[in-house]
Amino acid sequence: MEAPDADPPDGPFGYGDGADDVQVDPGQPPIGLAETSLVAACLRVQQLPAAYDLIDNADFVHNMTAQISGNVSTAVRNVYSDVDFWVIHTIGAYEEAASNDWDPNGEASSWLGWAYQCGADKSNFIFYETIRDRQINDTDPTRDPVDQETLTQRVVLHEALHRFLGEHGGDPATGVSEGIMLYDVALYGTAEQNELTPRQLRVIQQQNRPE
Amino acid sequence: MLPTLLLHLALLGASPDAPESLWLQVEAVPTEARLGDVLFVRISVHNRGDQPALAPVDCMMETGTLRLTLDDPEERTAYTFRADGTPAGFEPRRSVLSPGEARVLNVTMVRLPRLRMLSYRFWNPQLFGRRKLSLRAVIGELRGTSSPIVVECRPQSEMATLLEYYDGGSRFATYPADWEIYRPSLATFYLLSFPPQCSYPDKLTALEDALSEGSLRDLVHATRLTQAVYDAPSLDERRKATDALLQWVDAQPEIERQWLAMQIVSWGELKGLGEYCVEFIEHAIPRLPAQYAGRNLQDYYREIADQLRETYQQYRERQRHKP
Repeated sequence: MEAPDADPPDGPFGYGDGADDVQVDPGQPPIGLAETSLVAACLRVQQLPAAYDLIDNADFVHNMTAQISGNVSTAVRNVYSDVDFWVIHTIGAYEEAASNDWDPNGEASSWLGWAYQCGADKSNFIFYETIRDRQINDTDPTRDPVDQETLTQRVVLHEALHRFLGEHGGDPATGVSEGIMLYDVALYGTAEQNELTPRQLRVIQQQNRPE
Repeated sequence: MLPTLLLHLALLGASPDAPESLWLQVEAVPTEARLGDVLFVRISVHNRGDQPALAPVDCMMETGTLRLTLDDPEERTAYTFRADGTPAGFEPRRSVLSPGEARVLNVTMVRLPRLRMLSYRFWNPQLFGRRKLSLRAVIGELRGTSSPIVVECRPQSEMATLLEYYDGGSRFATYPADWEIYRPSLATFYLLSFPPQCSYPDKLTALEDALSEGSLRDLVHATRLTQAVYDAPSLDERRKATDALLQWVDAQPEIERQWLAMQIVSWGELKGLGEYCVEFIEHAIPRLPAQYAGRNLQDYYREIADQLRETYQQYRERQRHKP
């Protein structure tokens, strides 16, 4: 996704409460942390080779929502998971709805990523502008969030793990309520706190494929 | 000094744990449905005690702060609904709820069930028959249960038609190349798993004709009416189509009406209608719940509409001064 000029219908940037939106071109979601973390689950993570990734640039949508995520993602998805060839489709995006974008700072929701429709092998979205905003304009006076690059890496891995561990509030036996799956840990935690837990590794290894 | 002192007293009077005075109200419509229909759900917390109490401000299935389960007391079994996705980044809030006060925490929708869940024993159409169920909500330590909801199997031929339209959770459904991102579809009303081809006008008409009266058919109808707004060739016709959509929404039960209005406004906010989105949102606002998750939702969208209006005015100005 690439942010267009700041004119309607996709702009302006600065729209929404708080007016500290800036024009951020969503990048290619980084997979470095996923690569190193999932080795322990005997998984080799790599970017899909270009030969399999035929359509690579989704249409830009300022405020992504569940309702239109399918329109955006399905159009640019070329490959689905198979039993021995897993794909977690991950798209760099701008931000979610205005009520979830950390504008104004301190808003209850700051959605850094979304794993839409867990269990149905749909796509993950990483919200670059909200990650930027949330990291720079953190409102907790007692601690500092990790840097943007680290946070982005963690969000990519967090959302990917949902495809194995299920949804927040689901069965804690899957490990969905510990370590990097906790918002606070991903945002403020140390590298050690964000290492996959034995339970998470075990559940990942039990899957036929991520969904 | 006095206002600060009063605030502190109120906070001291509130227990950090869920006090017994808090009551979680779960309302669900329709109370009679068929397999494949949806339930519209409103969750509110009430303080029935005589002391202020700390209560949730919001909750969401997607973030794990709300759990919705359908209980079948006769079969002594239950089904817990799954969310539509899992965002990273939500901090549940609590604030003081005065004695006698109520607060709407969420207005949401669940499917009975998602059609790909029909293979679950709970939903097996062969075994389902007619069952009296109740919807249970859990938010932290708070629990509430709805009035009974009777769900019965859809006629076999109708179910077969419905499943023909549905992709059964297929991972390989693709969007047509000419599909526009903002075009209203069944997904606009959170029927996310139907293939896009189902949302072509002729398919929607056929699907609506095939379904019995009920909440699923309502969502198909809402999609058709929203598409009519999107496809209208002139401003005048767009206004007429908007009126038709909102008049139909007004005829629905309150909770359904509020949920539909939330989806309609949320879609309008995406600016797929261009500058008309401002007028469209403003027309829909009175159907929204006024009080929702700690804020006045109608005021919130009025602000959004104002911002959009200003945006388009500035845009027009820029266009006018372009060399």
